[in-house]
Amino acid sequence: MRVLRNDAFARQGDALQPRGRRRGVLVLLILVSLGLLFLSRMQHAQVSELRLQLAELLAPVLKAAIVPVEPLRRAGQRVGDYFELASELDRLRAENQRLRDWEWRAQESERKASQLARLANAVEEPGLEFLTARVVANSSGPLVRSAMLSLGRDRGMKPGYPVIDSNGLVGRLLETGARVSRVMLVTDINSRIPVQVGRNAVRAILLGDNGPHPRLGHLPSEATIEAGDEVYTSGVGGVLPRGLRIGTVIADADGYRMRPHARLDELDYISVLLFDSPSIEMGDDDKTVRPRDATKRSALGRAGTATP
Amino acid sequence: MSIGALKNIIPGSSVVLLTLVAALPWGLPSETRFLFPLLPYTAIHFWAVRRPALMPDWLVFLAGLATDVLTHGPLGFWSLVFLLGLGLAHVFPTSWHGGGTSARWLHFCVTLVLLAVAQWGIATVFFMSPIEWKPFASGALFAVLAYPVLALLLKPCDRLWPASAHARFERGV
Repeated sequence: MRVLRNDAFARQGDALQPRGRRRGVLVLLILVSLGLLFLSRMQHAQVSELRLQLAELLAPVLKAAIVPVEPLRRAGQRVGDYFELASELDRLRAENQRLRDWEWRAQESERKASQLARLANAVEEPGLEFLTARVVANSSGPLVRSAMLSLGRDRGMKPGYPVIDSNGLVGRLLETGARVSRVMLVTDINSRIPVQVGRNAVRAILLGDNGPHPRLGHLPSEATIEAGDEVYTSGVGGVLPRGLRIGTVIADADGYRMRPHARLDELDYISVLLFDSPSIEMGDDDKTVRPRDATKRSALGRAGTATP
Repeated sequence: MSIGALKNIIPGSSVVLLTLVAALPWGLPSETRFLFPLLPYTAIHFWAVRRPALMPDWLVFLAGLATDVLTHGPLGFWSLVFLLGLGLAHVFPTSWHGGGTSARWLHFCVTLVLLAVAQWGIATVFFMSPIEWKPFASGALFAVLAYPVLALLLKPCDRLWPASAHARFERGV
């Protein structure tokens, strides 16, 4: 005797609700989704708040879920690293050779710069405080490039703060909840960063397009840049501090793009620079620019680490 | 809670688990990261075709909402995509029921093609500019390849329910 499973009658019989009613609920939920999508498009404040509240609810679950998959993740990275090892070794040898030369030049330049600063009686630039935390979730949709960080308003996080890893700029905080924040990566379609390129400090705007290599736009027509030139923040607009490394120029069929230094695909621990934009500070009630604490630590020096 | 009630949470749990898997930072290249959000949909389709009563609309909506939050996409995008996918899974042709897993896989493939087009359309309208279609196509292809593996893992769970619960005809008596 053979039992015919999964017949059409059984499909209907399995449903607990009548078909019409179920279809009604489905249509209603589709309409709710469309409404949410519309409000997201309008960047409605309450939708952003709802998202942050949901993210905060889910953050502990994600943190717990990372623990069992951590060995798997590390193993995957090791396999990837192993395949890259031989070419990486050759690259590092060549780089080491170049860096020795640059080290000597940098020491010379530093000595000259400090002499000139003393002569000009220049004010010393203050360092930046920072907090380090773990990435608990990555964006995995084709629509955005962002990451969720286990630091929030309770640790002084504010939208706009720059985020770096050990190699360079990662992005900046877009939204901050009580205990989690969302980082918009430099590759995100909405990311626009004023930058300087190469030794001539050519001004440009780094335009994210959700691809791995953001485009360098708004370059002056007479600009002379070439592949391999360093790209760093220009500080124009005061949103980001000046001089943060971002990446190197790569030539593209339709102009110039940038390969980020930060390993945006393997973000694990990242640091948030507590950089209060001067333009925002100017807009405060007292209408004065608050002097930053001159004793603040160097951003890329010692670790002011927050417990993830 | 009885064992009967416990097994009823398996379909929902599998969707929740795959939603988490889709969001975790795996350290993969950015080009491959958009492959994951359709993973929960493989479980949604699997259960929606086999056990529609155990895959309620609200659960699919919440799974989509969680995916939106965890992947930082616009709120409502994945819930809309998953709900459209659920609607498509419900129109599984009655003549295909005898075809087994391969028929369901074929139906899943057809559904995914339609979903990929819908995703691209929604994203294009959302951003008001044409979005590159390749990530959507790659995501759908990955889900197509992931389906047989997931079906292999979930099939033993499906057998927890007695065959008689969804069999009406007997032949050869």
